[in-house]
Amino acid sequence: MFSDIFNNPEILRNLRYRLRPKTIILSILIVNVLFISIGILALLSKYTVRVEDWRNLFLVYAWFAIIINFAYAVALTTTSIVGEKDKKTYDYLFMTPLSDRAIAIGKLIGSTVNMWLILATMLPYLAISGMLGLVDTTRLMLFFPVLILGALFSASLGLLISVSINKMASGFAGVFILIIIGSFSVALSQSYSEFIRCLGLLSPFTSLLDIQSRYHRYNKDIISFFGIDITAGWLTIFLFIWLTYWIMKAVSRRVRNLQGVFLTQIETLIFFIVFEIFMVGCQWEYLHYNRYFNESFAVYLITNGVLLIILSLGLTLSRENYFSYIRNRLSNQPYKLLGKQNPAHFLFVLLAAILIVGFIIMCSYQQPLITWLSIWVLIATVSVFYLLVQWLKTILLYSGPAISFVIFGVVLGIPPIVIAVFDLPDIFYAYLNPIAYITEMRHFYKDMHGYSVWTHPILISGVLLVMLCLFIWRHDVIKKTVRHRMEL
Amino acid sequence: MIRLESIRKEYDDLIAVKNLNLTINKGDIFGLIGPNGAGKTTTMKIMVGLLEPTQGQVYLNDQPINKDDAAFRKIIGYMPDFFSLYDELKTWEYLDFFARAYKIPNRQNRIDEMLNLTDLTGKRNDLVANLSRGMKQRLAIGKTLLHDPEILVLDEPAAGLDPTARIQLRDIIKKLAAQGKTTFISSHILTELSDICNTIGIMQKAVMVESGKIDDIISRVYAKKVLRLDTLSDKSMAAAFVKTMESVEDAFIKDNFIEILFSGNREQIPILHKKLVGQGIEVVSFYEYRQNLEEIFMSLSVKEVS
Repeated sequence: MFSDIFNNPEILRNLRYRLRPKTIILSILIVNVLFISIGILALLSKYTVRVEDWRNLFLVYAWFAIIINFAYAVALTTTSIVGEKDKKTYDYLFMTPLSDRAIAIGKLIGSTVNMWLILATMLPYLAISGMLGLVDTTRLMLFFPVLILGALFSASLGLLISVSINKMASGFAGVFILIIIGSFSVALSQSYSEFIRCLGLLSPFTSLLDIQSRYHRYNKDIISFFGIDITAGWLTIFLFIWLTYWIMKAVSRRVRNLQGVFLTQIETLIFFIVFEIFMVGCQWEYLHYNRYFNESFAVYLITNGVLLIILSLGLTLSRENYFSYIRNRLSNQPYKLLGKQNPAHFLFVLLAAILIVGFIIMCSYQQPLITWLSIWVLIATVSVFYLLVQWLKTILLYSGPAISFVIFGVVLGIPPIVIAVFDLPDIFYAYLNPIAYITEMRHFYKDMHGYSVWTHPILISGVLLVMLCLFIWRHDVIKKTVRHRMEL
Repeated sequence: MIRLESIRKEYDDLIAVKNLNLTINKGDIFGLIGPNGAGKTTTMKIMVGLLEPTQGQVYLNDQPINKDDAAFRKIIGYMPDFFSLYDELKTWEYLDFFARAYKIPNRQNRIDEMLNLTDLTGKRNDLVANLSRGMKQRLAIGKTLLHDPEILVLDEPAAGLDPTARIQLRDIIKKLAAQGKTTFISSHILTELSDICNTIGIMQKAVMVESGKIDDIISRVYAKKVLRLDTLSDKSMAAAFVKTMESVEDAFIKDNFIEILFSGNREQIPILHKKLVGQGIEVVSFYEYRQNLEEIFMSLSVKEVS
């Protein structure tokens, strides 16, 4: 295991070429200057800026680091193995005596080289904020492992996609689906506020005073696990390690044999049993206090069970057998209706349909007022989906890490600059989630600051409208892409 | 030694390789020829363990190859027909990557050796992306030989090489064969193969239609010898006379020569020559014409078509 890490040529190869362009250093400096500027603009705001507001700057940077880490790690690993195939370099790599595990670990760690660099650039901020007494340094013990393991976990997800597909374009589609699902599920989940709370608890920038005043009964950074108080971060660390371990095990199986099974039936069973224990353990408190309605819990069990069956089949059957299993179970009629004979396409459409229906139900159930907007956002996002895949591919693959870094930095930096320049409050929330920004901020601003934030949904809706127009304009190209390039 | 036993490879409805049996002895240079889509690359990929046969077994040095065992990869040097290199690495870094992967002792010396062998020492610190196609091809050859493999499997290795580099490659392969290394090579340039290979195989539509030593194949494909006569006399008259002679199946004018299909043995050829001279035919040259690989290949293709 250790020799796979410390004497791994694949890691060295990544180190060599990813750190070669001097522009990567320059671009990181540019992004740092950008964030310092945001901080200065925030200080120049006509509203009284307290010392704590400086934390926003660090929070923004932390978020920036997280987004870059996760997006970049997933994007790079997603194309790493299938990319070898696409670029015809895999024959040479697979003919080496490197074990499947060594190749998988090499790809995993090698693709997160940029993450180590970004973490390093965070250190000066932490040092300064530590000296100013703004950072609870004890939390770094949790913050950094969570950040690192989180990036490794997301990178392993990318690898899993990479060994499940045949073309790089499909990989980007996979990444984008992950981002969309993550984005919407966070914004609209019932426990969205809890999600923010957890992040706040994990962050070293959140003061203990804030935690005590804001988080009510969560007066320490603990959660209840089967009724036992455990530091939230350690559970997250356990989850990341556990998931990453199994994902990498499955990935290793498929490095050289793209038609093979991911896990054996016994392995799948162990994986899901432990995972379920973990999930139930985390929700024990709700069950204990009977906060879960019976119906909700039944729905949870049913959906979870169906999901586990689908996942188990996918993990334990080879790709060919999986699709023939589905074909036999569902007959060929649905494909014919869709005009496609490829079960992969059918599954993709089916998944999309389930997501859309679930999404609409969720919207109307929880936040009916924003349903119309959410549906619009979803349609627009799905519509521009393929275009964005192409753009992402161009940015991430062909322009190199340095330019990608600057592009992402500028794109992510624009909202806080706009907010700071126009004296709009709160930089932090804009970063959490653009959808949440629309759905949650309206009340937040009105209540806390008396701002009318109708401008923001209109602004973002305008952007989405432009995207929709782009979709219509490039419809033929997208249709062609859908037909020929997507093989999810 | 390489041994393929009853190899069959199917892709859905397509049979890429059909019941292939082949033995290549140590030190042999085996040339595989066949049209595009005949199953050459599939055969090579099965041989090196990159593809699993639907049926059959490959043996390297009498050991069945096991995909999970890395040991067999150390004795094979495989160069695919279509490949890319890691463009973002420098030339020496590219070789260093594989030297580390193969755990080669004295890495730097071996890398220098390969750069020297492939005439890329001057490009040592250049990015692979900046190399010309021929240089990349040479670098790939260097990579293939880097770990000093016992068995070389080369799929179109001369593609993209200039004439000098081709001659160098030929010399390298001959030298390696002299050291006892077994080489399996495919190429569309048949004259090149006939220069270096001692055995060949011809594949068509997933089937190995012929294999063995080139002379043996010629005698199998061409049951009759072809003699060529160049004369100053009237060629039509000379051809008509030749046709009347013993063991001559046919004689006709081709490319300003008289080509004679002769079913007799070697000893009868000088007698034939004497009779021609005795008849007053002015002989400029008279020799047994040896078919080259291209003609054998074409001849087999014509048979296949008919």
